[in-house]
Amino acid sequence: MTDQALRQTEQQLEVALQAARMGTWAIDLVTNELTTSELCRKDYGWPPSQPMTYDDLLGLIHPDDRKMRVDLIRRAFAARDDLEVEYRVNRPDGEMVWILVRGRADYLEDGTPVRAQGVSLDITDRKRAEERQRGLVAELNHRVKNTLAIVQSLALHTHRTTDNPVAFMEALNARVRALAKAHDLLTENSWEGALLKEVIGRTLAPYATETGANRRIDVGGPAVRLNPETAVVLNMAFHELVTNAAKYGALSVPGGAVSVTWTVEDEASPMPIEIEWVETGGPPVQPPTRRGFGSHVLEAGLAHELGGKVTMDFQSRGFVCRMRYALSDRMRVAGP
Amino acid sequence: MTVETGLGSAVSKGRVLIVDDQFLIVEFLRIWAEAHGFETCATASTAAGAVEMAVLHKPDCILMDVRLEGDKDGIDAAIEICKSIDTRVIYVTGSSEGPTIARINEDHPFAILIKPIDPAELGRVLERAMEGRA
Repeated sequence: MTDQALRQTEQQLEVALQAARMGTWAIDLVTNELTTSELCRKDYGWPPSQPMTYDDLLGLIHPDDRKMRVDLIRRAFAARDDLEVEYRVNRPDGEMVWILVRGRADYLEDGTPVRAQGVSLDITDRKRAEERQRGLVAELNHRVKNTLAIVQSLALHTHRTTDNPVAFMEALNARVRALAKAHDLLTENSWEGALLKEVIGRTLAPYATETGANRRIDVGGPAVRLNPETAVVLNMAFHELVTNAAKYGALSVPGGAVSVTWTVEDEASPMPIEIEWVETGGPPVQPPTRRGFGSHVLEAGLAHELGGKVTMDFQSRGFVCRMRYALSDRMRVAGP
Repeated sequence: MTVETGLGSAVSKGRVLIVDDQFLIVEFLRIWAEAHGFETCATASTAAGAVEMAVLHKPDCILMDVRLEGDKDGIDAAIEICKSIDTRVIYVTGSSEGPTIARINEDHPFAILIKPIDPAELGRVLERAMEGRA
């Protein structure tokens, strides 16, 4: 190769390394003399114009990764394999980064490595993305397990409050579908919670098809934000209210209507949020002879998760349910 | 939030405090614990509520969720509780990942149950938790 061709090749290599953001390094394994490119020193946060010795480099490697690095290098050289190692570096300015080092050694006939050279690459972004992904998978696993535990509970309660297998299957299917709808809503909101209006609106949506004088559903109140767990339990509670209204109450007959409104009083009061469910136009109301799962979720469930008070009033002209809650991280007034 | 169940303890095999921020999971554990002959003396949904109920009721064992509403979790609550009362903590968690289990193990748990729960295993663990207790 002519000198000109060699220079061209070197220039192409330089351009390729810069485009790939790769630094280069070489080390004499007998004297530990290290040479590094400017980009390599930049990966380690070392001043580009200052030479970096092997001891300087060792001092920058995260203490927890030093042994792993040495073991990997030793194993690669013993097997005459290419070297590939990822480790953390504490840069002189205090920032921690991940560096990938790839390289290859030259050996004497007896197998002793005498010189090694290779490339370095800052892989911090990739490592952070992997960490985020691991976190998301762990979070997903946790939520799936919790959801399965909730489904177990729904099955158990439904079994205890239904008289026959058909009724059991119908009620359980409806409850699992309601849970799935709550999850759909939370997924749309990146599992950061939901607005009270969204939870109630979706539960009543099948009955909110009429408008004007025939309108059956009225939902309204100030913006109240729920955390994911509260959105799920309130969704289940409103599912039970809707199911009862559709079976026995205002939504069981044409012309019946449900109004769900809420107010937020003085935020200094102990329970400023009041939600009122009012049924009108339905058949005459008879107080139930036994407490069902719906009543249990409304009273004990909401008390457990949110505190507060729930009163159910079986007025003959229509069922009324009032709930009062404190403001907390679980249920708060949404900002503008 | 905390709930005191007010159930009598005359015939129970032992008294259990159930801590989980999700009511439906508390209910599942309560129904099965009671089906196995144990009494639920109280429930709680926060670490602070768990500590308060544990000190008040001195349960024989605690079914403790790890993730709870608020700054402190179930492990923080268990460490606090075990400073003042003699009880056995059974962790009930949806996280089977290494870091969570490692952190639980630092607290020397009596047992760890992973959600969803096998009711028969819950019964066996509760029975074991009562061994050696008055």
